[in-house]
Amino acid sequence: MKDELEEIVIEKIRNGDARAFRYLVDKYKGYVFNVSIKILKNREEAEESAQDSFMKAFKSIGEFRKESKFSTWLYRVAFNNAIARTRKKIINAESIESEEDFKFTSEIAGALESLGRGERTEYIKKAMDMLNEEDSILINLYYWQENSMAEVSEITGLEENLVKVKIHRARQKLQKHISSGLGIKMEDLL
Amino acid sequence: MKQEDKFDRIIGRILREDLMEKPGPGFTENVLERLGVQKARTNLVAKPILSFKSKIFIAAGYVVVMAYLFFFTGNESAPNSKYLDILPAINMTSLTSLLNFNSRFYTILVLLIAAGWGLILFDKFLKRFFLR
Repeated sequence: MKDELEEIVIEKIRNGDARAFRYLVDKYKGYVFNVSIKILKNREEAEESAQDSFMKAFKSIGEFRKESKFSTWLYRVAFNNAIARTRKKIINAESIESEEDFKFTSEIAGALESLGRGERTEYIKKAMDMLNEEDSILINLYYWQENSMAEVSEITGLEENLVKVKIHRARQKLQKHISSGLGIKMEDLL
Repeated sequence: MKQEDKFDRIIGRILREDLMEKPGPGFTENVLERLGVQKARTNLVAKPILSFKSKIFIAAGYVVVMAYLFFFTGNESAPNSKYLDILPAINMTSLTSLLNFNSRFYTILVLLIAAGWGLILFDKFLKRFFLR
């Protein structure tokens, strides 16, 4: 969905109205902070990194070409900034772990739906915590704002096909962790 | 791959609504301060609303007024008090005058502490109210 107000705000900032930047900070601070904390694993550092990301975005907003969504561009800035702080490559472009296929999505969804909201959140949180860093970042980027594979690819700098495979695998792992958390037996699903 | 099945909807919703961590309350202001768009709050916080001089004046004024009310308006406010009748009859020994002096001294001391405490609380209240 196109955000017309956002476009007006970006134009205002480009024309020198720095105060209009408040709108973008308020709108995206949660996502930018979460991108940072997923990578840095430290609240204070993540907050600093997220603030730096907004500073960078503000200074280079003239370079934003509107070919992609502003959020995608901003997440890329935040992602690169956090990665630069860790001085390591979290997303590995080479390795794709082999994972057995897991095709019980609808059954798991049904089991999750039968739970209360709090309990459901707890199971998903536990399953998310069991994912490795790379999978957790990709899953979050994919689901937070319903980013497409192309957008996740743009944010992380990975090839789109690789992103597709990695997210597919990460979803399978997530399903597996949730199903074992829920105590769903494979035999019951077959 | 489209995010249209039930599983994706559930996971997406939980991740967005329940598992998102929130940045600190002053996040936006910090960014705007760093950009120079907003006046730094830290300077305002460091500077009290009431200056030391005005605090001293207020405290002194409070003590003087309260002391006046305590020591000089008692007889007028209660002209029929039975204590008034016996007051001239009290034999002021050196001990009673000392006690009298001490009680006044302690009363002023308590008033001073109360005034100081009240001012600190008032200043805190003003800061919270004006620096929001």
